[in-house]
Amino acid sequence: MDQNTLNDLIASCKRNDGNAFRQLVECHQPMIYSLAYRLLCNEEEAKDAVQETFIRVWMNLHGFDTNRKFSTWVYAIATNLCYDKLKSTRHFSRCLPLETLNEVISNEDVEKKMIDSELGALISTLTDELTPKQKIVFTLSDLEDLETEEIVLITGMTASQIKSNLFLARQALRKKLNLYQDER
Amino acid sequence: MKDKMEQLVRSLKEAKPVLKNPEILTDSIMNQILKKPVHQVSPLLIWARVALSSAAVLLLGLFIFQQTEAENSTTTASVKPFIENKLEVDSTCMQLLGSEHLSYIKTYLCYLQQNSIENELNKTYPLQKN
Repeated sequence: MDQNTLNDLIASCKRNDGNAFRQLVECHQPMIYSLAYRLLCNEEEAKDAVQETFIRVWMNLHGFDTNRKFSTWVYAIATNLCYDKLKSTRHFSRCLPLETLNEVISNEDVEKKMIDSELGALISTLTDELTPKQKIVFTLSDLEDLETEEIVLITGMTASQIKSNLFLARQALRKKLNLYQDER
Repeated sequence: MKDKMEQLVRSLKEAKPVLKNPEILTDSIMNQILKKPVHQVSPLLIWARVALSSAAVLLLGLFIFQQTEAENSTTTASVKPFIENKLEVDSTCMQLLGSEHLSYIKTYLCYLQQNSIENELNKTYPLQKN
């Protein structure tokens, strides 16, 4: 969706146009669901987060500055919501069997075979010891492939905080992988 | 190990979670938002917000100005208020009553009068100075 169309849709939404908002939702829903699922590792919780995100977008659209990137703004709302969920509830990891993890590591085509529930279990197994901040930075940077500047805008953290959190997250993941390797 | 780590991250990155039946979620979102119209701020509220903010800033400025003035006048008036808290043997009241018999009531009245005079003097001190 190009910037002009997006601006037109946002302007229509500000005039209470539901159809324009539906188009915005349809366009941004997949990326928000992907982020929420990777952070919360649970389909129902991810769907709830997506729904809550778009309700907040609708409620706060009047204050949205069109000079900002819309997707970054929506990402920021979703990330804040997921951060609150991660902080408020203890997410117990659904331990993935060792064989599955080894298959993921050894099989190059695994992403084509993996279903969402396995993916959720895998991310949950690997990242259960990360703090919510580390998990968010790792997900945005390494899984969603966003630039540091955009993560700064989304999370409100400084670039150095992001780098240190990312370093600690990767270190924890390496440690976890080492443990699995030793068990094998 | 580094390769394994990179491979794992790459796998996770490429395995995008896919939403099943996205239209159901979209419908659910639309049903929710149609109950809540976009929150539009009325011009009256904007005007009230601006007026109240300006008033708050003005009051704060006035308060700071008054505080500064009060501090300045305190530092200018170097003489501390004099209040005779205790009746010493050599106090004015005791000396005035020196020749008479010791009367607690008279001494106390003198003490009160003395203090009130001193306080009045303190009140008018800046005027006297000028």
